Amino acid sequence: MNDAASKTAQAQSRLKQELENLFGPKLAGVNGYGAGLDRATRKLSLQVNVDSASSAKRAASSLPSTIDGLPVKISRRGPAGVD
Amino acid sequence: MATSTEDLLVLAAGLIDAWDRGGRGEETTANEGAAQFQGLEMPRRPRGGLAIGRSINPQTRQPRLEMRVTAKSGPNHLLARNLAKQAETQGVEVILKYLKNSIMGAPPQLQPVIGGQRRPLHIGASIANRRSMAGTLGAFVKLPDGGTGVLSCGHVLARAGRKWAAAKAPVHHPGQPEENPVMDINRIGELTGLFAPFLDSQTNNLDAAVARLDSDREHLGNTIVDLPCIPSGFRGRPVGRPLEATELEIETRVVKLGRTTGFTEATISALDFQNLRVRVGTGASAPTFTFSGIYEVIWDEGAQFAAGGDSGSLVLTKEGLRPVGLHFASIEAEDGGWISYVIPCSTIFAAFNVTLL
Repeated sequence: MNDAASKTAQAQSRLKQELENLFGPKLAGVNGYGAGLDRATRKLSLQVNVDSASSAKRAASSLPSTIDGLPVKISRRGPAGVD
Repeated sequence: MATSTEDLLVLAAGLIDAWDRGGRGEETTANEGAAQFQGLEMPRRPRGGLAIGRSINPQTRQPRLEMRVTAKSGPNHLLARNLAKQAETQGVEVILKYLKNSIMGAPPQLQPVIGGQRRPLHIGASIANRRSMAGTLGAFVKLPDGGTGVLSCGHVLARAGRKWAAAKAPVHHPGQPEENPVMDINRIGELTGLFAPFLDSQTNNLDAAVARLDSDREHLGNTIVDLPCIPSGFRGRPVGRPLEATELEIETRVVKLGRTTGFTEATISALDFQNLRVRVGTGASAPTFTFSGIYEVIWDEGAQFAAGGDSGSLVLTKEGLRPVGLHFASIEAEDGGWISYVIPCSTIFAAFNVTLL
């Protein structure tokens, strides 16, 4: 794993800790998270999908705006569907 | 008037938010949640059977509100009609459709790009458990006992309706709905024990399965078939060596050959996506399961990467055609673009102890 990938993995690990603190160990209300390209900007960010419940929205609003220099982007999304 | 997709997002989010609060008995008004719907009387959150979304009118390029209800009568129908009427007075175009038990999920489309009987069999062909709907034949694999197998998604080969099938369940080509009627002559093999039923207790479910190919079935192996829907530069080319998890990078261009949308391409956007909730089956009551350690793919602007019936498609690097994983799910993003998800080959091959033929 190169240096950039290692830093990204570390940021994602920290994001997981933050999510567990806010949403509990089962991440109830989180419909997915990971380090990836932002659809709009095509820049690397930490993506968090939360469901539409107000409690999830409130919890997500307590996430830091950046983790290890990567912006945190919160999206309200339900479950994906199998194809 | 909602003039942009962003406006409609705010509007739809406001509706949902207001429903949420209404469901807990708090007072709410339309103006709190959805400023674009001034004067709208917000009802209680429906108990299901009503979905709300947005799309773009292809002629005017203006965003519009999409609503789906499961019945032409009852409280959700009345609610949808009321919302539509009032939205239209605000200048917002509304598309209201009736869908019987199919608010979520993606049933296979009836007119696939690669449909019908394919002889010899090839990757990208239609395949399914006899009691399920069509997905895509992803790859031919060597089984632990030396036999030949076909790899696809678990929900394609091992789901029998709403339940899990047992080993030795027949697998057909093509799958439904183009297999009509369902006939035993279309059997190409049988499900092996190499599949993992989804469990609520697991966060890393595995949507893959292997069927043993009947010995009399001819196939092209892991080669891109020569079809007009495939760019000429890819036809007849063999699939490369599977990519190790550590070899894949964000922004890698990938292609796939699927039963429904044929040969398409997109871009890897995330390598280790976690805790993705996926609805399995159609209808709002269909169960959801969690998947982790998967790849995320963002579609190109205005270009479809996958659709219902493409599950199981082998996703390959565009350069070198090296297998990346199996396409299995998709979701629409907030801006109207789409995202798909892929189970890594490395995960599947390690779990099943199989290799590409």
